[in-house]
Amino acid sequence: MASKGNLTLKSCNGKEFIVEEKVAVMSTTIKNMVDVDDSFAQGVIPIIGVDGKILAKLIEYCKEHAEADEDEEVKSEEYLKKFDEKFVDELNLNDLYDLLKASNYLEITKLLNLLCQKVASMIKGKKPEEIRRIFNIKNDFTPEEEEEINRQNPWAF
Amino acid sequence: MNMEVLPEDLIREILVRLPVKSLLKFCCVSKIWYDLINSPYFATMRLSLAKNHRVFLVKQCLSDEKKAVLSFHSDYLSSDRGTAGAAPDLKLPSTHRNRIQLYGTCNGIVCLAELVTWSHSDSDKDKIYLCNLATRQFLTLPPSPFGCSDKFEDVSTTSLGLGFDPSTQDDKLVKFIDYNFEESMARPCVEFKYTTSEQILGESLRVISLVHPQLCLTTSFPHQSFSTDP
Repeated sequence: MASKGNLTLKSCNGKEFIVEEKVAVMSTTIKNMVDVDDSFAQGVIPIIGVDGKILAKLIEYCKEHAEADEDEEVKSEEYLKKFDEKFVDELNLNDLYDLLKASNYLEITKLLNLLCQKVASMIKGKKPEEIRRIFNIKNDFTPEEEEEINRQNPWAF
Repeated sequence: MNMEVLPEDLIREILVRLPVKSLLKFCCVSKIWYDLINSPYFATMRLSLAKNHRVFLVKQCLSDEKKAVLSFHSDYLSSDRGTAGAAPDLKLPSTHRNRIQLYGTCNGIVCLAELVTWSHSDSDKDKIYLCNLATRQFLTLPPSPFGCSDKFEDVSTTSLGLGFDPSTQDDKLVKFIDYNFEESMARPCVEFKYTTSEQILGESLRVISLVHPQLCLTTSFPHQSFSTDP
């Protein structure tokens, strides 16, 4: 059981993390849960669909940002920028994908923006067929339709 | 690298951060992606992301061809070095001598006009365009159906406004034409309307009314939705 001011988060594979409330409520979803139902603040908050590894990454991110929000002198904007860069650079694609889904579900807006920007810069120079492979998308255009779209935008290729 | 299918809202969040060139290339990925990229909501999202950043209209003159190439650039999208402008190489048939005037922006649509400053023939006319910044699509406004001159050479007495009308949930373009009827000296006003839900952004463009100026001023401007900062 977490002490006062702390919350216990439990991943989908049963790993428990005790974190300060200010860190946990970086997630709007958790904030709403705690605000609405006091028992969450006392007990364990299950984080559905997020495993221990990803949850640890999320907490690492939120901890830095929550502390920076509290004390700008210790953790300056520049420090955070560097931290963000390093944070996304160290992720492999699977983690990036899992974090993207988790930060969307937990509504950690800052992190979500950071991750989307990272994915965007990774895919911007790719070809459509590479995009389909990365995102596991089936091409539902007929060859004629695809040609017609490409014909409209010849300068893009 | 292989990802499971991402939910549509996440795909959209990623796509709004891409330069136009990538977006147009990715239109053919799938029908869902095509619809996402071409939706008016997407254009709005893109513009609001770039809200705190400046957007420039650049006119590049190619002297040997007597043509000008127009493009929009945003310091938001070019923060990543090597990224192209917000909407490069608009395919507007612009002549390098003509003056380009920006009239306003609303929900990702920019209204601009090409004003003929020097002309050999009467066929050179001022043109007004609506341009969707996310997809580079543009529409040339049709000539006024009220017998007013197409040429609005005296800019001081003619003006344009583009805005969102919350009462009808539509974007509206209002064009004032200072036009002297022989006897009454009345000033007719032409109001065009288009709905951004149309894919080609002006398909539903139509003239709503020809009204007396006093009437127009009280019905069209109270919303204060005519923004001029791109």
